[in-house]
Amino acid sequence: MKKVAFYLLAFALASPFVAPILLAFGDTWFYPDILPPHFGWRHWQAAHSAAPALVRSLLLAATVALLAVATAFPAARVAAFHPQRDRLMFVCYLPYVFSPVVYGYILHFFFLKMQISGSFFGLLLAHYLITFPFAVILLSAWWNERLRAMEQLTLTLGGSLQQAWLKVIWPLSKGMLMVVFFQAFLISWFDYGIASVIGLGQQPLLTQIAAQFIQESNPHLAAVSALLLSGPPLLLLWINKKMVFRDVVEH
Amino acid sequence: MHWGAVFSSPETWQALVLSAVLSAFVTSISAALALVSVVYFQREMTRKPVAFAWYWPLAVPPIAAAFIGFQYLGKTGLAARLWPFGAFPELLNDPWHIGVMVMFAFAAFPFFCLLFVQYYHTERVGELLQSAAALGAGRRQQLWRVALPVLWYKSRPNRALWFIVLFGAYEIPWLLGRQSPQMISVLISRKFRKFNLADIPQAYALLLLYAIVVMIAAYWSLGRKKSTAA
Repeated sequence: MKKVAFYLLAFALASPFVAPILLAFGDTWFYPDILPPHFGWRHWQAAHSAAPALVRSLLLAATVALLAVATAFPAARVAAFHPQRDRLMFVCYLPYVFSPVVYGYILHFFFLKMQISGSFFGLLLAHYLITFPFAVILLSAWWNERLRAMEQLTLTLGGSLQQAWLKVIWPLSKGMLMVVFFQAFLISWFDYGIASVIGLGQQPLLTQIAAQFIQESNPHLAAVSALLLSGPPLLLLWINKKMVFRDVVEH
Repeated sequence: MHWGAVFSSPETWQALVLSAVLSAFVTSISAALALVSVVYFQREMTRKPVAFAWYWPLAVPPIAAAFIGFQYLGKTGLAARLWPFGAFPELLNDPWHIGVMVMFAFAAFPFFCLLFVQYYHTERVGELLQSAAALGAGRRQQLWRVALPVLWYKSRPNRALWFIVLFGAYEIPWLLGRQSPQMISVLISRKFRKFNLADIPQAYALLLLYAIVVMIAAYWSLGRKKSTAA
């Protein structure tokens, strides 16, 4: 009985995925048919117009995540041992808790003045502005007394600062930095709100293409783009679900 | 003048109240259901490969979740096709925002499940329950006096965070919700996109109002907790 209830619950959680899968592969699927009569790859071929957006989204998310991790790691060291640490952490939470679309409008004014709205660089900067503080929050928990003591020990024993970071801190922190990289990647990958405001429709990301297909009432292409959007996060989960989601849960 | 227009418009207050009620309701219900499921299915959740189902919804971007909700809960959606009891109820753009809440819970429930599974181990709830049993607590007491309070209290910052995030949710209420009343992010965005230029200052006023509410909520839940812990 307990087993049955558990599988029912798991099925209920997985069942919404059935609709986009059937829509992406099925054809002429009319109400009230439970399954589409034909299956094929037709919609995937038709969705080739989404390819540039897919590449752009991947490139943007990877660049943003790399920049965020690289800059947040030293910044988190400062924040972690700062006397005003709690206040700094609170400020870091703000961009993350704001509704992305509202945050987009806040940035929009400045981006227009700087004439970077509608450019890839504008999107990069906007996404960086939310992923950086988020990465600082995650990484400042990583910077503890022990890690700092390791750094100081290296210096005491005659190592240079470069050696301390490359030979001691980097090997110790590699795993954590990967986790933060994936987190930052997902924030950028999931974003629709900011990109829809800052991008001005000139640099559409995959989420915007999906929204466009939904608004055009083209459920088949929307389903293809929804699956493409869920693909990379599921892949990351498959590689190592603990690594990716452990720290979502911790913050 | 613009502030007056914003404050005197019932739309503003409806949006704020609607956002607060929906996010508070979904956060509490999802967390409570997750808590019960984790305590009940504790063993299954950590061992079975089926537990992977709990991670799936977390891999879905909100815009895709909105689309899935649309295709799943709509009048001609998958759920309607499988519905055995006559006419399928209206779940999208409905007065009770049921579709919106279901899709919010679709993301929040698995998250809280994972959270509680983790707390179950870090807080050593299993061992606490054993000692409670050794001290003579019945099953009901173990559940109500030990397991649930420990886990519920520990999850407070995460519940607050989810409340704030859902309060400002955009994609799902935009595609699945009603035109009026709208959730606050949808309302702000609509004001910004109007062609009437007089609406834009009002949009900024609304945005500030939203920002104040979020900052108070964030400070109250996250800032305060940190300062008392320090």
